[in-house]
Amino acid sequence: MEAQGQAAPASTGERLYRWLDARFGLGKLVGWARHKEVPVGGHSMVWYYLGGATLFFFTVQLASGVLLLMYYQAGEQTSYESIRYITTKVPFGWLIRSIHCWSAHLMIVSLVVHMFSTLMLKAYRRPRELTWLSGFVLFAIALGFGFSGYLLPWNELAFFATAVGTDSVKSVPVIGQWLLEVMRGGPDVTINTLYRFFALHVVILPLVMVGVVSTHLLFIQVQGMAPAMAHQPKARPGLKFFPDFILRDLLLWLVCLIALSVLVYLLPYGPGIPGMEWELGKKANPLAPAYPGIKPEWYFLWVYQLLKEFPAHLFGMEGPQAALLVVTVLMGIWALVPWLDRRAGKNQPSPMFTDLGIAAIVFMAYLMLKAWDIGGGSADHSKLPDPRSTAWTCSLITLGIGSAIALLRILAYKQRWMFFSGAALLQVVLNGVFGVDYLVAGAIAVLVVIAGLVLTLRKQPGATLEAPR
Amino acid sequence: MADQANRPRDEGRRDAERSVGQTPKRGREIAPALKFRDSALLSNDPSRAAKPERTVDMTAPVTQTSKPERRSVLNWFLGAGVLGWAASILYPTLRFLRPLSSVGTGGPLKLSAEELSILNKSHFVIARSGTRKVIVFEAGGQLHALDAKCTHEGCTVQFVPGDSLIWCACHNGKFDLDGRVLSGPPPRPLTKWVATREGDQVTLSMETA
Repeated sequence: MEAQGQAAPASTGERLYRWLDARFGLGKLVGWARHKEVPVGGHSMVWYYLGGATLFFFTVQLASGVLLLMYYQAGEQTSYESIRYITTKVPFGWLIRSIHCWSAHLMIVSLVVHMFSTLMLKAYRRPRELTWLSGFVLFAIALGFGFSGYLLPWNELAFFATAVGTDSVKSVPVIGQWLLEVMRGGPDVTINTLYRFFALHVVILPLVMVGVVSTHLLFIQVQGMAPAMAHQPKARPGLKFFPDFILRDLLLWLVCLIALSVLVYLLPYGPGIPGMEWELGKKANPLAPAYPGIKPEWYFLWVYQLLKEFPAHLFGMEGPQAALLVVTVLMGIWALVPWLDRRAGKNQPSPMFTDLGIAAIVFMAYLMLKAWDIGGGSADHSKLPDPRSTAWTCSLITLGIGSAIALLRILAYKQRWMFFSGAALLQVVLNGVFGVDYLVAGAIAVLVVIAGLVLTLRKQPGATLEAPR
Repeated sequence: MADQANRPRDEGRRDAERSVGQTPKRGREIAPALKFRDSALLSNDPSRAAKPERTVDMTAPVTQTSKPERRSVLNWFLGAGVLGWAASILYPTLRFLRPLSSVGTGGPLKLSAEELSILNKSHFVIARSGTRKVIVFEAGGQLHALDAKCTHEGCTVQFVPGDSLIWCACHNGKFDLDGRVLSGPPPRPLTKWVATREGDQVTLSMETA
């Protein structure tokens, strides 16, 4: 960096860099970043940018959240009123609130796509198990953000969504009731609940999130991004992380900002889909009954519908308890995928876990569609939706989506392992088309999968579950 | 620790001799002393590096005698201290987080004039009795009262006069006028209350078995 002979005088930026470099050794960091490479080839580069997009939306959340804090006042007589004041009186208040709401939903969307792409590409495989686990924790924190932020406007929707969401906690064995009261600040949802959720939303979760995001990024920087698997096409020379990849990442951030601006401007109160709208509505009244058509946020819809599908009692447990046990087991399996998928750990194809991801999509899509009461009757909730016609319509839509994915997998990717996604579709058909009870249909589908796997192994001794010969 | 203490004395000496010129990998007890000497050995000063024997002689015997036991006791105290410290922070925090239990009124509840007017207008009203919510409704010329909190996920129920049933909009749970589950996921019936009308006043009280 030393100027020689007739070299032009250093610019301010260069002098600042030198000043910092002399004190903090920035040269080493830049040198390391220049040598770092992002693997190219094997699969599309698009999937590498989704984590960055999620980080962008999280940054927007922090910035817009701090701005909202300047006016928001938590309290029984002030929460709803201050949000109304922000959206109706404060200059550009509607814009800041809309950015906060839209960005929250887009953050979850990019996070979910990022998670599924990681699953499909087996990027979680050894030695990146902890990166997957920290990502799973981030997913859980993001859901916590959504849930706690939902109550802050203190409107009708917020009140009942929180009542249902927190009531589920009492199903936890031994400490359920204690946990419920700690969450709510009492046995019921009151203004004390809002105070607790406010603290959670603006202090506790952001601190935890920043810590876990830093850990997640540290893992990625130390280990690098996951290259394509051994059986995929040979990787070409990598892309330089700095400045090539960083610049592309920043370009995507710009695209995200433009998309966010357009959505905020065109649909300031959301797209109007139940679970994805933020009209303020009526103020919460703890003595009013829940109104027809009440729905949680879209990413909780599958759990909401599952709670509806379970009977009052199952295997000695109350319905909600059994439903939440199933959700916990499924989430546990999801978190432990890197350890369960041994073939990917050995850099071998693991079609079973690709199919697990597809089955999860089919399973959640059907429940979500049913939760929206698609095909069930009037949209204005003047009469109760008909569950049979809802199930019929939703099953046909899910069947269409599932078949399209299966065709794509067969034709484009030559994939054949479809036991799990086939079982998920079988449950959809049995429940939606033939009217079999949801849980009975699920049990039949599970039995068919087990029978199919056992028959495959018996026919072809020496074959494994994932790679039948 | 115990294994270290039981090892023969000369083995400790051999460890130390092996470690001359490199950072010791075994025998935590000798590490601090050796580290100091090693830094001299590894330095560029040849006059300091030329005296390795003294380092070995001084550290090896100390390693194998009383130190491990004393250290394990200290470690035990340190561990217990840290646990006690953590508990002294955790317990008050958890107690602080759990709210004080609020007690219901216990006695009978009288509906206010405003609640009576809502009852007459909307066929039902939800009143609060201490920490509980009660739905009061009129059906077939009779006054009924039930717990208003759905037994499924705790939403507030409503009376549907046209179908003569109690309905929870959250997960489509349905109850009859006595609170028994008709359909949907609620696992238990709604608790029944006694509603009595005397003149212009409606009084609610818990039903006694």
